Order: sequence, then structure tokens, then C-alpha cells
Amino acid sequence: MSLRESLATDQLHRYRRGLFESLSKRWVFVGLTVVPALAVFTFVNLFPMLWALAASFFEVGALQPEWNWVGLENFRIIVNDDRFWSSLSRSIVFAVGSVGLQVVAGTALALLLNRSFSFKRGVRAIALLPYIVPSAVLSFVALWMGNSRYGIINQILVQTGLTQEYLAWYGSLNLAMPSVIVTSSWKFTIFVTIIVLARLQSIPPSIYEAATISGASKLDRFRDITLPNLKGVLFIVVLLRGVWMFNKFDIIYILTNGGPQNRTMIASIYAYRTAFSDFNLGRAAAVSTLLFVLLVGAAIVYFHYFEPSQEVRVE
Amino acid sequence: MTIVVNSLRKTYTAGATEHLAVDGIDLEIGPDEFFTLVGPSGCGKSTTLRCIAGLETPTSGQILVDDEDVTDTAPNKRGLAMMFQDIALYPHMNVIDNIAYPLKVRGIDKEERYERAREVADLMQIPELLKKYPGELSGGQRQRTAIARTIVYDPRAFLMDEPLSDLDAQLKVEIRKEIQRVHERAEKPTVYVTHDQSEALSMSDRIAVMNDGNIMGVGTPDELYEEPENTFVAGFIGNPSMNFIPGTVTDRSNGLVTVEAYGEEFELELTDGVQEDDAVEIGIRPERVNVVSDTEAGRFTGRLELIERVGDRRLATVDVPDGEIRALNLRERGLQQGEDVSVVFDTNDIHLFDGKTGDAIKHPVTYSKRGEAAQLD
Amino acid sequence: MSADTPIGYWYQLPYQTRKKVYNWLLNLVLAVGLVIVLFPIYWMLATSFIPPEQLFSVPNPLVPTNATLESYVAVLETDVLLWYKNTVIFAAGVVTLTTVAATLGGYGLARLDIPYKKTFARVILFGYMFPPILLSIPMFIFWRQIGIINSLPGVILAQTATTLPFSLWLMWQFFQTVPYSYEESARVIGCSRFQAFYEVALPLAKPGMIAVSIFSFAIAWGAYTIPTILLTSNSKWVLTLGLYSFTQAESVLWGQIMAASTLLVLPTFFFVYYLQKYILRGFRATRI
Repeated sequence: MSLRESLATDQLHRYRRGLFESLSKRWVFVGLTVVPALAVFTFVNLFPMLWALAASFFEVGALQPEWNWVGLENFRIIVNDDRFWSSLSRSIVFAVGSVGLQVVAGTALALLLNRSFSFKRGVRAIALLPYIVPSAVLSFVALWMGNSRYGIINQILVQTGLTQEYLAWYGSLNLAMPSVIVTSSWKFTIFVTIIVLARLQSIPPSIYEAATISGASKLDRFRDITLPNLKGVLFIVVLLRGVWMFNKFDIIYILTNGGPQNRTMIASIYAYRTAFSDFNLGRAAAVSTLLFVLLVGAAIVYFHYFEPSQEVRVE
Repeated sequence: MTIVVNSLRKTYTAGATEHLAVDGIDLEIGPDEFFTLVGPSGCGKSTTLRCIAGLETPTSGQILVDDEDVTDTAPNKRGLAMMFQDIALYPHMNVIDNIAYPLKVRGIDKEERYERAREVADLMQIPELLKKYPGELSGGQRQRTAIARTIVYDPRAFLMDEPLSDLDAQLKVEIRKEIQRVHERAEKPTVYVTHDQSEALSMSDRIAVMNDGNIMGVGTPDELYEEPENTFVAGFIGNPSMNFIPGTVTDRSNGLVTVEAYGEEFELELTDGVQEDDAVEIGIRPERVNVVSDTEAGRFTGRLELIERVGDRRLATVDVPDGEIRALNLRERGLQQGEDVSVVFDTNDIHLFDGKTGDAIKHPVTYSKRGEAAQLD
Repeated sequence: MSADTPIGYWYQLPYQTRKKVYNWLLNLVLAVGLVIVLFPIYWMLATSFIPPEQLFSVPNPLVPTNATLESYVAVLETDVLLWYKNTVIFAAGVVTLTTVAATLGGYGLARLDIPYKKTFARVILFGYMFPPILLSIPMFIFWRQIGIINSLPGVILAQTATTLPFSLWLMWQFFQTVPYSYEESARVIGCSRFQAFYEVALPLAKPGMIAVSIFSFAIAWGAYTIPTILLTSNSKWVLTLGLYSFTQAESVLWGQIMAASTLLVLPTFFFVYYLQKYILRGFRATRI
């Protein structure tokens, strides 16, 4: 290295050091770390939320810019609309049904994957696949597989004699909701699996061995060690998935668009229609405000009654 | 109650390679015996214990508890108790539930199992901790809880997998006493695994020294210390470990053998076991070696590399041509690091090992057989 | 226990035998689960190779006979490559923005003494309960006013609303599991605060950052709701929206939809295979 080059590197080092020093000043550092996230969050989450909260007291059309104050009128119309209440109850059915299915299937899958078997890496990768299949793709594949005239599911079921005739899975009044629940769970079960599996791997194997030696059977161990250790994560998983499934839009929108005869019109679809079919943004905002308040209320109740006592850990 | 292990073998396959963990060992552990498996890490001692517990499946061999073959019995049906290196208390249960858990899985009703848990908690002097969680306990309290959990039911034997290795020195002594107290009270066999030979020597009735999946020697602490079967046992038992000096047999006559090492000749009483020109190893315990500054007085001369205090004694390390000799039996006061010294020991204290196989040929002459002069040295 | 009943017989078998049988039963259940996971993906692939005119001749064979690339050829004649490019830019933008903001923010929340940070945490969690479909309505209006409607930067920013809160929370938790002493020791040997963060804490947070990247990638790659509202002209569409162009008034071009879907799904599989250990490690560290 020539003298000139080494001087240049020295210079570079000094600049770098100087830069690091100036970035370390308290307010610069705070600004650097927290402010980007705070700014983005404020702009894309908080503002739209506050806008929606405010707009719920106004009459807001989709095309004209002016807002007319209507007070609680939007809310009055909504709570008197049977379609809102029935869509809300369908949201609850959808959320409870799919979260229930996801938690049971996801935990079972995590337990199955948390053993030693051959091709573990490959098998785990396969199990994780559904989570990255886009909802739109899943919906179209499901529509095709469940097609009432050409669907492979109908073909298999009839050929094996499990059903007598081809069924319209997403088009018949009674089957639509269960079908939608199963379809969306195919994808989101994996979220539960990932989190439960991560937790299972952090349980020290020696406590299972200690239990075994002192006489505990497989069932004892599952009930007394596995389940209590999963309580904390299952609590969070149910909360997160509950909120996400309650607010789910895209899968149902593509699968059934709320049909048949509104049998799958959950609250998010109802709000979407209020905004983009009735062009009544104020009322749509009021719907979202109501849903939000209900969710927050439910979350508070949930925390109050179900939060496991502070987990005590050895580590 | 006894534990018998017959030609136990355990191999692991990792990909294409097969790793031998335990190579066909036999053990017999008598009723209420405190039996220790000791050896360097990876010697197969923990694997052996886990096979006895049923946590590992032997590749071949047999395990008998009270003359009953338990090789095909599920680990939870063997009626044993075990302590683990990481203690393995259930983090989500408080102390009383931890202690009472073995009773719970035996279907004993709540009142009785809490009653019995309280009794053993008293015995372990932790009655005030019953409502606490493992995370809130100190190291010693966790150990006491873990011991309580093993004695709350009536196991056929105790298995302990390095339960003291994570404790500090003071706590080690305290818990060691507790374990011995429990062992004496229970009158059941205890199989104890450790890598620490001093722990093994001080606690056990009998010890098996393991290396590379084989048992190198079995015996009481005294037997292993005084008359080790081979160089491995001799080097592993005792701290600081035995000095080994390579030598050659130069003469053999009249029940005497002459061994030469570093140009020095030793005459030992020995009638058979070696031929002339055989390679041998001279073994001498540091406790039997003295160092003097008079370079003419002793056996070998060398530079005094290091002198350090070990408890109430001083340990000297002397450089000799092929290595070093450690001496713990120092008498002289003014020894200086770096000066030339000579090493002194009594021929009667020598162990002699076969240079190729490492098997013992001769052990020190017992004191009753030694002459007056030797004792005065 | 007697060997007369099946249960009695079962328990008379040696423990090792029972363990083996039990293990194989569980493997069987796992295999069934994997079939349920894989079959829709397989059928998507198979359909994309079946000649379109054969799709409607029931029953379909489970393995396509005379496979053809017809559907792929037809798909490539549309704007699919343009949508693909948009999807890649969109996903890359969301992943970058989310990961950078969440990592910096998570570090700041975990390490710095900032007033009201608990409040902020609660706002984040509750903010997450607001339905995303309804965030997009105000976004549509704002974005139109500031002129970033129907643009990729605009939709990237908007989609971040669905990935940032959870990611921020995850990184916050993650940094709490990284011992502070590493940074302290760096400070003691003369690193500035920023340097300690940049050269010590950041590399240690890599598993968390990868978990966040994967999480945000999975959301962005499959995003539908927000793009459908904010991207109004089809030259800006992402591929998930493009799928809709293969549905026509009276018929659906299943072969082409499946071909386009396959193109969309296939590359992501490699991510999962190579990054699975980070997914698990990242989530484990968050202690949720």
C-alpha cells in the first residue's frame, strides 16, 4: 500500500468515525432509530384510522370533497340495519370457526413436526409452504378444485363413493361458510404451527425425561408439561389470529364475494360494499369504527379473563 | 435391590458414519451401593446411565433391575428416580407440585400427595419454599427440590447424571452431603455419573472408570488409587495426576528387575511379567515425590519450572528430558523458580506398567513390607 | 395385564416395538397432513399443464396426460411479465421499508429511554385491530390528494401498514433477547453508541431481521386488498390482481390462471426451504 493510499484510508476511517460520533448524539440517535418507524406508522396506520374515526360522524361521498356533519346518524342507520348485525354474527362465526380449526390443526402439526424423523428439513419446508401461497392464488385454486361441475374434489368424492353427486362447495347456502373456513385455514394454520413449533423447541428435553423417569406416561407428559408450556403462546396466537380472521377480506371476497345470498357476507365485506357500492364513505367509516371498538372491547375482556399468570421461567 | 448391566452396547448412526458410544460393558451394582461412573467427556458414562434409565435404547445387551429384565420396559415403568445435570424442575409448576408430580402420575389423590411432598420438603429443609416457582429459587434450593422430587416416591434405584457440575465449590460440598444422606437413608443402589474424579473418590463405595465406551477399571476408591489396573486409571484417578516416566528393562535376576530411565537405574522386586529390553512406564504419584535444590541428591535433575500453592501444600513442576514431573511432597523451604533441582522419590513407591499395553505390572510395596529405613526417608 | 384383549396384547409387546409402531402411526398422520398441504399446490401445477380443452372433460386424470405448455404461452402473451416486474418491485419495497423501520425502531424501543414507549407499544397493538380493508379507504383519499395514488411507491408505503406493526413488535422483543453486555463491552473499548449498534447489535439481530423479512415478504407477495384499491390502471397491477384478468364474463380461463399462479408461487418455495431455520429461530427469540 502506498503512502498516499494509506493516507486516504486513514482519512476514510476518520470520516467514518466522525460520522459515527455525530450519529451517536442522543437526539440524533433517537431520531435515527425510532423516528422512521414512528413516522411510517403515524402516516399509514394512525392517520387513516383517525380519519375513519372522524369521518364516521360525517356524510362523506366518494366523489365530492366536502364533509357534512351528521353526528351519530351514520351509527343510527347501521345499528338499525339487520344486514350489519347478520354480517357481524357471520364474522364471529368465521373468526371463531377458522381460529378454532387453525389452533387445533396447527398445534397438532407442530407436535408432529417436533419429533425426529427422516427428511426433517424437507418435510418442515413443505409444511411451511401454504403460508406463502398468496390468498388470491389460494382462492382461485380452491374455486377450481371445488368447482361444482369440474372440480377435482367432487370427482374424488364421487369416485370413492363418499358423496352421491357433485356439490357446489362455495355456491350452496349451507356449504359456503364451512368451505370458506376450511379454505382460509389451509393457509393460516401454518402461522400457528410456526409459533407453536418455535415454543416447543425451547422446552428443555430434560424436563420430559425427568417426568418420564418419575413415571409419567405419554398422555401425562402432554397434559402436564406440553400444554402448560404452550398456554402462553396459544393465548397470543388466538388473539392475533382472532383479530386477523375477524378482519379478513381478500379470501372471502374472491371465493364468494359474500354470496350465496349473503351467506358469507362478513362485516368487512359489508363495509366494503357500503364504501364502494353505495359510495357512502362516512357510513363505511362508521362501520369500521364500530368493528374496531368491538374488537378492542373483546380484546380487553379476553386479556382480563384468559391471560395466563405471568409465566415463570428457569432461564 | 440390585442393578446389573450385561454386555451393553450402544452405537449411534449419524449419516453414513457409525459412532460407538458404549462398547459392550458389564456392571453389577449391589444393594444400597453408591456406584460411580467416572471418565472424561464422551467416554460413554452418561449413555450408560441413560440406557439404565430407559431414555436410550441399547443397541444390544441387557439391563436387570432386581433380577428383572427391564431392557424392554418403558422408562416410566421401571420405577427408577433420576437427577439431571440441568436439574430439570418443571418451570411452570411451583415447588410442591414439582415434588408431588411423581405421585400425581401414580394416581395418588391430591391431599395425600401434598402431605407426602411436605414431609420430604421438611426432610430437605425447604418447607418455606413450597409455593415458589423454580425461577425464583437459588441454585442450592433448586437442587434440594430436585432431590426431594426423587425421594417422594419409593424408587428402586437412584440415577444421577452430573447433578453437581453446575454448582459453585461451596454448594457442591453442601449438596454432596445431602445426596449421601439421602442415599444412606433410602438404602437403595445409586448410580452416579461424573467427570470429576475427586467427587467420585469422596462419595462412592465403588467406581468404574470409563474411556471410549469401555470400562478401564472397577474398584473401591482405595483400590483404584493404590493399585490402578492400567495407565489410564492411574492417570485419571488422583489430582494432580500420576507422573509417568518411560523406561526400559535392562536386567532381570534374583527376583530383581532393573529399569533404566533418563540414564538412571531403578531396582525393583519383581519375579515375572517383564523380559529384558521391554519398554515400561514408571508411574509415581506426585504425593510421593520431593524436590531438593542439591542437584546431586536426587534421581533426576531438571529446571524447576513452576512452584505454586495448592491448599496446604506446594506443587512443584520440574522439567525433565521428555516432559515434566510434578511433586507435591516438598520439604525444603527456599526453593526458587528457575533454579536447577533434583527429584527425589522412593523406589518402593513406584508403579510399573507395560509400555505397550499400559497394563499394571507392579504396585508400590505396602508399608508393612518396607524396611525401617525406607519409612524414615 | 392379560393378553386376551387387544389392549392387553398391545401392552405385552416390548416397549421398543410399541415405540416403533407408535412412531410409524404418527408418521402416517403427518403424511396425511402433508398430502393435504401439497395436493392443492400439485393440482395448481397439474392444471397449468393440462390442455385447456381437456379441463372440462370429467373425470380429469390425476396425472396430466399429453401435458402442454399452451397455458403458459397464452399467459405470456398478456401483460404478465409487466405485472411480475411490478410484484417484485412492490415486494422488495415493502420488505426493505418494513425491515429497516422495524429494526431501527425495535432497537430504539428496546434500548433507549424514550418517554411514553409503553403507550406507543399499546397503540401499535391496538392499531393492528383496525381492519386493513378500511385503512385503504382513507388511504385512497389521502394518496389521491398527495399524488401517489396508482403508483408503486404509494402502494408500497400503504402495504407497510399491514406489516410494520407486527414486525416492529417482533424486533422489539428480539432485541430484548440480545444481551446488552455485548454493546457495553464495545462501548468500553471505545465504540461510539452508533458504532456499537451498527457493528455489534445489528449482526446479532440477524435472525430476527430475517424472520421479519420473510413475514413481510409473505404478506407483500400475496397482497391483494390494498393494491386492488390503490392501483387503478392495469399497467401498475401486481400479479395477484392480474389473475382476475383471466376471468371473463361467462368463462374462467382456469389453465391460464393456474399457469400464472404457478409462476407467482414457485420462486417463493426456495425461500422457505433455505430460510426455514431462521423463521423458527426468529419466532423463538420473540418468546411469544
